[in-house]
Amino acid sequence: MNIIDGMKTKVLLFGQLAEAAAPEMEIFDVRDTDQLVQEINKRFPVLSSMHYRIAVNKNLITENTTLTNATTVALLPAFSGG
Amino acid sequence: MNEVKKYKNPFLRGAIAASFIAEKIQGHQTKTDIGAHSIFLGQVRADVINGKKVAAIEYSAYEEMAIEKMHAIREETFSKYALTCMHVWHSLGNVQAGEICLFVFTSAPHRKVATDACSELVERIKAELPVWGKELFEDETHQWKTNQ
Repeated sequence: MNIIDGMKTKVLLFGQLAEAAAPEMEIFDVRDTDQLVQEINKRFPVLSSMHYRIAVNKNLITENTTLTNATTVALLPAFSGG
Repeated sequence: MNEVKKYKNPFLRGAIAASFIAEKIQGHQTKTDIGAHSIFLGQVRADVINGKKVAAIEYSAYEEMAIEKMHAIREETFSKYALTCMHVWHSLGNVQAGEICLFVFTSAPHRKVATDACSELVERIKAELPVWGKELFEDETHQWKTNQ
């Protein structure tokens, strides 16, 4: 089964992560969030030492999560509103 | 099929004016079952960090997620506390030191419910909303704010 071929994940970055890398990017053909992070770190090595939480379709995740087509993943540094 | 969601948007551009706050208080005078309002106002502090003074904070947010999260917090707060009303506004973009960046307003028949709910809302907003503050110094450098 080659259903992940051509799969696209939209990645949004915020705060200091957007400043250090880019506010958004598209990553192709990664099947889960661990692979996604590896791919992002390859493109932007500066991110590998930065701390953040991950939201998949606006829900925070705490462990490796499978991605389906057209998923939006957000990389969220520590919140500092208010 | 996605439902069309019409959640309240807590964000407004720039500082929250004192006149805006006054209007919101005025607007509640017709609701005569209310006996107590509790208001929290967050103000941008001119911290001095390594000899540099904060001139303003530039706020940004993951707005879509924050609006959904705020909706969930709102629902949970209404089910936990017997509130008559609850309103939250948070600034985006630049807010100068001394200006208001967060306005939380709860109303109830009696004071304890209003003050407890207001206090819990402020804590949850700071901890759970995907919002970031960039502290802009007078010399045009910056650092990213951290919440205590």
